[in-house]
Amino acid sequence: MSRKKQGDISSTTIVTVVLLLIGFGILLLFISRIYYSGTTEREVCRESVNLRGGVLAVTKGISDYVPLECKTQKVCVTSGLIGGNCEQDFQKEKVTKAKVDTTGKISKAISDEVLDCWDMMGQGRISLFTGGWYDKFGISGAKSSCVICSRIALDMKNLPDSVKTKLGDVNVYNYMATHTIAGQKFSYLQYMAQGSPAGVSVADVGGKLEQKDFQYPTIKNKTTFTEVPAKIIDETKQNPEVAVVFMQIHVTDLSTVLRNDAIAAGVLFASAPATTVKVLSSGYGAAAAIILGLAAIGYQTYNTFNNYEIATGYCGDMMWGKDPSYGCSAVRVVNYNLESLKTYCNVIESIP
Amino acid sequence: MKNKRGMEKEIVKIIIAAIAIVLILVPLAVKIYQSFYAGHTESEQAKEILKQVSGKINAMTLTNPSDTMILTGPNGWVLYGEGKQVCACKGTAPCKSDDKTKACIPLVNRKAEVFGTFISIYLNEIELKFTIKNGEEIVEITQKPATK
Repeated sequence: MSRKKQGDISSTTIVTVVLLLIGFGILLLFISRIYYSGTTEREVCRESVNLRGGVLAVTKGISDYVPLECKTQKVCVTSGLIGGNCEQDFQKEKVTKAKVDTTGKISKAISDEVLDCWDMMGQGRISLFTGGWYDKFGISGAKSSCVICSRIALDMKNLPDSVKTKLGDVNVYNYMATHTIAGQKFSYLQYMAQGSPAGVSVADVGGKLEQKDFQYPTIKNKTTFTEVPAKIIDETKQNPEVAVVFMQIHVTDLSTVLRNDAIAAGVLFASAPATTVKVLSSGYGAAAAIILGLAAIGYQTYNTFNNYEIATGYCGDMMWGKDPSYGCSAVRVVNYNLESLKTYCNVIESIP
Repeated sequence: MKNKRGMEKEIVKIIIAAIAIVLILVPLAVKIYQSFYAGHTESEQAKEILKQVSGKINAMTLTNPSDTMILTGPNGWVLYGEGKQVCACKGTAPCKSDDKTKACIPLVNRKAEVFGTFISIYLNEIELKFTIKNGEEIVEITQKPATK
């Protein structure tokens, strides 16, 4: 009698604990939504990134479904006591002003946004845009997903001529390599790439990032960087504007895809051993299983190699420590125009 | 012997409970969560675009009669003009009046009629043109032709 009671308690307890854990996870997601509204936009984004990346163990299972809550910040590079709001670009939207009186300060403003974006999006350590189980089995096509962290407009009305005529001197890459972050001992690039508490070991890529890996284009009328993907200043525009874009693309490698296949086959066998043996022991069943299996593996292999090519197209210029065909995470400074955005992003997940 | 059988029963119960949780409860919870919030992000993106488009229209004058705007909204959503407001909804066909995804933002201090057929808000660029015809303000929204 007492033994039976003990058994009852153990099973009930386990089920209750499991249910409680799941309930807690769901509750956490709902609470996080309420919490979002009470903090700054950047913090809200960071929180959603942590949830999406499954940093909290309890949300790992459902993290792919967590929406990102990242709103594009509007930065107006202006000058003067009050400065402008870059109304031509942002109308009456909430704008952060970056007051500058030299081109160096424009570089600083853009560098700060790059650093914030990198930090906010998990420093490239968090895999944010996986394609779910389709991706795990090499069925989906690789897609480059982006979050536009900031749009930075130059307020040509208020910027002094001494700055406007020297926009070609703005060199974000050099600035990040030669200047330290406020209150820190390392340069922007060191912080982002190596030797810093943050480090940049990209979890989903596994490669260590070198300083040369980042191609921060300069704002110039004629760019001298041959590897710069887009001309940063749009001469046809009255008010030049750049965007700081976090881009991530992920491809599951073929060995992982095949391992997942083997696990799936094992699960199938374990869940219905008798049926599986019965099917495989009949001649037609075995032949059909072999043909289907080979066709599936063939398609997965073709698709995965296709995805490698796509990822290399997006990440090849980044020269990562590891093969770029597996994907990459990167912060890019691009000219804010459709062509540049389309070059790097298949999907944009930020709130404009 | 009896004890062993009891244990087996308990194990079976646990396995059934675990399977039920994994196969039924978790997907159900995820679906509920998705229906509440995943669509919510898309509509938030679309509404933000509407705000920005109406902001641009509100700022237009005869001395500043045209403007362009890059749309970085969710895939499958369209933008169009409806009376004195700009609207968006999910879908490619004309949005039904009872479409739950439909959102509109009226122009502020403007009497302009907004004309614009269904334009995708997914990685697209639009042109806004402001004119006055027969004393009536008109704003036309068109897709900007691709440039090479």
